[in-house]
Amino acid sequence: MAFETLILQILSMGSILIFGILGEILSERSGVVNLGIEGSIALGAASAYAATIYFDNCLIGLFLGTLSGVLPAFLLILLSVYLPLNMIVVGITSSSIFSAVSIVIGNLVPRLPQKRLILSSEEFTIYLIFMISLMSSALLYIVMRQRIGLIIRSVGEDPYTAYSMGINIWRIRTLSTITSGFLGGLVGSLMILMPMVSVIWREGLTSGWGYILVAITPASLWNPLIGALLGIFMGMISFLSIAIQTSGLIPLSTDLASLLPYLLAVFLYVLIRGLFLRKLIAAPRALAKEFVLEERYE
Amino acid sequence: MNSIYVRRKSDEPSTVKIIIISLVIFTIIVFLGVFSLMLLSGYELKDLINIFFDYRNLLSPITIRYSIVIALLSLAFLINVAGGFINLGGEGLIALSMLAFLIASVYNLGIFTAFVLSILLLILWASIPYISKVYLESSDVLISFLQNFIALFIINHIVTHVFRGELARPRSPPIDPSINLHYISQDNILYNYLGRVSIESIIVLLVAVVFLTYLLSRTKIGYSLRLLSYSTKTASISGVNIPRTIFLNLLMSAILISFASAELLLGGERKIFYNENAKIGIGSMSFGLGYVSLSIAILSIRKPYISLLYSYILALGYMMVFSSYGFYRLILGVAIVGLSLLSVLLSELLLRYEVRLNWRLKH
Repeated sequence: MAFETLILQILSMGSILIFGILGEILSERSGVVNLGIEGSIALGAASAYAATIYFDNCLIGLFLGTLSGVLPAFLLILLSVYLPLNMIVVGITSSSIFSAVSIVIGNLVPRLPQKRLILSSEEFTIYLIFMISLMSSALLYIVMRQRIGLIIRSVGEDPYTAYSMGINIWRIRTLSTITSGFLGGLVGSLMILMPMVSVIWREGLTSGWGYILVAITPASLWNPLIGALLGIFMGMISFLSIAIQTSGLIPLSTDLASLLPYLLAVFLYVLIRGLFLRKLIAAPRALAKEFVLEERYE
Repeated sequence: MNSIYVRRKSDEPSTVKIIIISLVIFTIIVFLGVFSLMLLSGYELKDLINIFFDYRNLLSPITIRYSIVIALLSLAFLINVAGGFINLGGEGLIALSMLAFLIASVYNLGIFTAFVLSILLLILWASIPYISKVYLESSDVLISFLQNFIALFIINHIVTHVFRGELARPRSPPIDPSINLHYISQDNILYNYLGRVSIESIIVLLVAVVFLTYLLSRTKIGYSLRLLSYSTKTASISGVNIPRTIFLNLLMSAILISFASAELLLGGERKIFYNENAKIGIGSMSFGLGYVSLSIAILSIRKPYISLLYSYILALGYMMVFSSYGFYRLILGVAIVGLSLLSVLLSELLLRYEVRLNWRLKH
């Protein structure tokens, strides 16, 4: 594999993952662990593929794929934000159901190699999307330091105090989870439309990436700028394993190379969250905790 | 003004209420969900009805076999849940247990050593998320879930490069006939119902139901597990030996998972297959039973014997999956996990919470 191609592939995958990490950072800052992002990615990929084939236009595919990512987030919002059900189990439920839906949608159109999102050239598209992902990180970093960011963080830290100060917890959590769902849909759509990332859509194409994103988010310390670096790093890992196999430098089987991102996600999660995090920075205190008041009005 | 009223009920629902509500919710959610997905995919309504309402499935030996496997697994996860460990790594644990049987078969170690090896392997593997949760406050759900993929890729590597049975296809050699369980003979009157399940599994299941019901509600170990699930700090202050409680929890669940895996492997094709892309669900050797069993475990946490009923219902759900074919089987296999989890969640909501929705127009 040529070095330049490898760099472009890493940037492609990296920028896709950055969007996912940003979505997860936003929802986790408001206290919602969006495990349904796996469903958003699967649905986004299938919808983008089906729409691109059907309309013969990858921009429409990108738009519809991104939009469809919100559906799994809605289930999470209904059951875990408005109702008091365990958001981890709800997230996995949502992912499983919408993964099945994604198989149905992906098979509605014939299996054809769809168009790629190529604006003037492959390189230009990759650099452009990479720049957009970096700018999104910077934007989220700035937003989190504004008044709205303070509100989001306060909801994730102590929702009861935030509620007593007049903040509508459900609205903030809903908005951040919807945004996370959008970004999940974008991740799925880009996984199928981005140049140099994947070929034709198949069942289980995006399998597991959503869960990996959730696992590595704590390693970003919920900072969008560190999240961007982490995205590039994970993109590097996913393509490095392929590069190692093809170059023959290290005798590693396909299966062992495929488990590297998962292994790294577990390692980073346990190491950063468990060993270092408590000393460096505290996680949002109300993370994965449902907010239930005995009675509420909206 | 629109209002939502949510309150946790103080009293524990009765067994009859749990059974009725969860049965109704399961039927509505799973059937409606599966019906809509299959119809959307172009399945004929007539075929769908034939699959779902086939009365022969009710007492078929395969339904009973899967009921017993699911029940064994759900009791294993129930012990974990009782100790505060939400173990979503069931798929990986089943695969690793099968690997232990394969190793014992390749090196002629016998059935007893195979079980010991399996139990040790499972304790080590499951201790990673459990210990991380107790001591490092990490998410056990997330770590155990990611472990599934790691375990499945490791198994794939092993059946491709280490213990490859056939050159044409990556799969393990067949398990040695010396490693076997005992089955009811064809002369026996019960053969038509229990012919596909081993005697050992039936005995272990019955003993486990009685033992766990007693252990969790009446003994000091049950009390320690409940304390640990509530808070590590509280358990520690109350004098609970945390490492010992964790070990006992993992040991008991490992024994039950080993029997369930033995049933799946030794009562089936006796080979471990290559699982492309480490698929979880119907594409795996354990058909996604690791997930559905956890949902049963969460629902029957206070009454272990209820898991027998839920296991039977889910086994019927799986018969639907096995009756369908190709592409539809794939959709059903993925959907049934999410739908059964959703039915469990909604049953929890109805049983333990009071929810009132008042829709009024804003003035």
